[in-house]
Amino acid sequence: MNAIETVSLTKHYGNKPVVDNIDLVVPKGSIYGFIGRNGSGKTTTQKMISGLARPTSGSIKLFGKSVESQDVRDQIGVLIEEPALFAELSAYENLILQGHNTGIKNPKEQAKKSLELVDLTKAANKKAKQLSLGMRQRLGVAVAMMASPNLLILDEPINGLDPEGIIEMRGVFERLNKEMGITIFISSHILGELSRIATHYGILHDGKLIQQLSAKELAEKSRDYLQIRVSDSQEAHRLIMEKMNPTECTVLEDSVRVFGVDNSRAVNEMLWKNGLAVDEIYRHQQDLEEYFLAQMGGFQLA
Amino acid sequence: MLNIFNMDMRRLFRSKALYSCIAFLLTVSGTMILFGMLPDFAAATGSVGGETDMMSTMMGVGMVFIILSILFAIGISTDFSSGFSKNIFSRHTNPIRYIGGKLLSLTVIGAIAIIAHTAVSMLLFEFTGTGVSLTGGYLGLFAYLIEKIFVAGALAALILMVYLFTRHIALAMIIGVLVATGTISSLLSVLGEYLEFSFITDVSKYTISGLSGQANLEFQGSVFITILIGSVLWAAVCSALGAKALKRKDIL
Repeated sequence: MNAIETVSLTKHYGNKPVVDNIDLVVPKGSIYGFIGRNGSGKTTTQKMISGLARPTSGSIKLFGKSVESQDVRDQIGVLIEEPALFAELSAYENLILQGHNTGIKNPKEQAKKSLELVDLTKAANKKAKQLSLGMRQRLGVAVAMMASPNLLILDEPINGLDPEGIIEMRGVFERLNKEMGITIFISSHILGELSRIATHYGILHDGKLIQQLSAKELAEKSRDYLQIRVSDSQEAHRLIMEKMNPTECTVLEDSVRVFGVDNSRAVNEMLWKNGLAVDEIYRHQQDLEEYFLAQMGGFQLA
Repeated sequence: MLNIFNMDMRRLFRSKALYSCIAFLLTVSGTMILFGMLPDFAAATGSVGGETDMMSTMMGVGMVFIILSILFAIGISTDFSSGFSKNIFSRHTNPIRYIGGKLLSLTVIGAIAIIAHTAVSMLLFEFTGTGVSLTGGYLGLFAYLIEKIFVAGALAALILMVYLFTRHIALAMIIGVLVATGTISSLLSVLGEYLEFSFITDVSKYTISGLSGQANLEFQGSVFITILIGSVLWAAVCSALGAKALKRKDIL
C-alpha cells in the first residue's frame, strides 16, 4: 500500500495552475524527497495532501483512503512552511496544546518524549519566540510527532539549522523511519542532505511532476564522467571527440568533462601521445544536486 | 470538539490578552461606579428599560460586550496568525469540531467576564453605600446572567464567522463592536421608523444586541426563552456559515 497517492492533482490560483495534474506515489515506509525550485508548487502540493488547501481537481489518497477521511488524518503530522507555534507560550506548552488538539491520552508524557527526540529538553520552558530558528524548526518537528503519526509531511524542516543541527535532524528522521516505520514526505533545498536519507524522489517543475524515481534508479541514471585537468582544454576536447567517441564532452576553464568513456588510462595515453600534459584525471559520480540541475536544464531546453 | 475546547481553554488562560481585557473592563466599570456615572445596579447591568440608545449600551454591561468583541477577535485570529491553525486543520476534517470547540471556550470566557463584572459591580455598589436592588431576586439575577452568557455565545459566533470569511482581525473586531454597542440594531430601528416599517423595528429586537437589551433583572419566562432561543439560532446560523467559509478557503 502507498502512503500517498494522488491522481491528476491540480490546484489553480485564479486561472494560473500552480500544481498541474500530478500523479504522486509515495510508498509506505519510504523517505520521499520532494524537490523543485522556489515557486514550483511543492508547498501547495504538501498543503493539499495535509488537507489545508482544496484541490481544484484530482484526488488524494493516504494509506488507501480519501484525505477527507478523519481516520487517515489521525495518522499524519505536518510541518508546513514555518513551525506552527504560539510564540508567547513555552516549547512544552506548545506541545501540550498539540496533545490536546490531537486528543492523545498522555500529552505530558508524550511532550517530554517529543522534546527528547529533537534534543530540546533543556529549552522546554523557553518561550517559542525566544528560540533560535533552528530550535523552532526542531520544535515544529516535535509538534508534528506528538500524536505518533504514521506519515510525516515536512516542508523544508532543516532550513535554518546549523551543520550540527542538520546532522541531528538527519539522525531523527532516520530513526523515525527505520525504527518506527514512519513514512516521511519531505521537501528540501538542501539536496546533498536529502540524498543521504531519501529512498525516493519526486522532481517538480512549474507545477508538473517531471520525474519520480527511487534512490536506486537515481544511482543508475546518474551518469559517471571523467574529469581531466589538462594543459590545453580546447585541444583536448577536439582530440577526445575525434578519437575516443564519447557521448558528450564539455570544456570547462582548465579541464574537460567526458561522458560515455570508461577507460581513463586510454584517454590519458592518447592525450600524452598528442603532446598534452594531463595534470589530473578522475572518475566522478553525478550527485542528486547535479542530477536535479541537469533535469531542470533539460526540461527548460525541451 | 472537546479536544479543541480543552486546547483553547488552556491557551486562553495562558494569554496576557485575557487578563489585560478583564482588568481593563473591571477598572472602567469600577471607575464609572465610583464616580457616579452608573447610578445604580440596574444601570450597571443595562436593565433600565432596555438598551435603547448608544450611551446606555456603551455603559455598564455594554462595556463587557465591547471588550469581549476585542478579546474574541484576538482569540480567534491568533490561531491563524501563529500558524497553529495548520496543526488544527490538518488534524480535523469536520470544521464544526473547530467552530464548536471554539464557541464553547469563547462562551466560557464571556461567562467569566460577565460574572466578574456583575460581582465587582455589586461589591462596589455595596461599598459606596448605594446598595444593590435585585428586583427579580436571586432568580432574576441568575436568569439575567444566563441570558447575557447566551448572548455572548451568539456574539462569539458572529465574530468567528466574520473572521473565517475575511481572515481580517480588524474587521471582525469592528463588526463585533458595532453589534455590541447596539449600533446596527439602532440603525435598523431608526430606518424602520423613518420608513414607517414596524417590521424592521420589530426585527431589531432579535438582533444580538436587541436580544441583549431584552435581558433584565426581573425574571420573565417569555423573555428568557426568547433570548436563549434567539442566541442559539444566531450561533447556529453563524456557525453553519463559518463552516462553509472554512471548507471553501485554504489555510494559509
